Amino acid sequence: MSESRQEALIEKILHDAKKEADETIERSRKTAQGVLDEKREEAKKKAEGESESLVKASEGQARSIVESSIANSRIRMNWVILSEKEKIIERVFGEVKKKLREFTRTNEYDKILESLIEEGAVAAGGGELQVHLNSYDCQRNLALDQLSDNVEKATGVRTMLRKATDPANTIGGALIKSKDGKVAVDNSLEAVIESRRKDLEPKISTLLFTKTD
Amino acid sequence: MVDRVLAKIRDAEKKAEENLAEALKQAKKIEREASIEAMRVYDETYAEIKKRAREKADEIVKKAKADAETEAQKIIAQAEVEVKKLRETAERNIAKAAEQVFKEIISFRG
Repeated sequence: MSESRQEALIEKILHDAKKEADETIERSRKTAQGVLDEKREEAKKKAEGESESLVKASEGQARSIVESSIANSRIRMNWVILSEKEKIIERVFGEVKKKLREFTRTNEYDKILESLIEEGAVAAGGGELQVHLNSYDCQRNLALDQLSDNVEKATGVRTMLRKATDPANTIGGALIKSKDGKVAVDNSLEAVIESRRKDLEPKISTLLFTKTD
Repeated sequence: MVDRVLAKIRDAEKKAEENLAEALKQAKKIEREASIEAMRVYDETYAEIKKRAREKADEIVKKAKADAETEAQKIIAQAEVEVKKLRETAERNIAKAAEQVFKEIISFRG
């Protein structure tokens, strides 16, 4: 074998080996890149799936925040309006009490006071009863004997109505108590208003809040 | 002479084998490093996408809170208008209402 052929053979051996080595490295580089791409895709797919759920959940949360805020605000608004109506209705009751107080200074009131005493005494079941009036009404000449007879007729119990010595702290009307204090009927004007409050409130509301113009 | 030629060829083959062995070693190293790098890329990609999603989700909730506040303010303003109207209407009718209730209480007892 000539020297030049030897050199060529050796050159070929080394060249082939280098080529194979380069190809091996290139293959592994491609494999490595493939692994990286695959992992990146895998992470992307997993994260995007989870992200979609996360965003959907937050959209749901957002809707709930807005809806509950609106609902709460409406409840608060209704409460504010209702509370304002109650305040105004209370003012009307205040005005009514003022009118009743003025009315108790008139002679027309006597008849009403007597009717309140009689009604209270009947409710108390008759008997020996104390009539508690406010200090102004205590000065009135009331037909207590006649009222006692009326109560006796209504209840069938011998009845004796007497003005109590201690005055009642009311704007008018009467508190009827048995002598032993076991039976007490509040027929003061305040109690009359309170007993009719539930019926009166809707009427007052209609009168107050219905636009007339 | 022949021996010398064969020796040269054997040397060349040995060197070629060494080159290949080195290449294989390097290839394994590349793949091993790639496998570690792949885990890092996975974590990084996953974390980055999730971070963006969390930011988007936070933004959605933040916007909803702002919208909710705006809606609440509108309703409060509406309530204030309603209350003002109520007061105005009621103010005109209070005396009339009191008079009617007074009459009703009196007539009820009369």
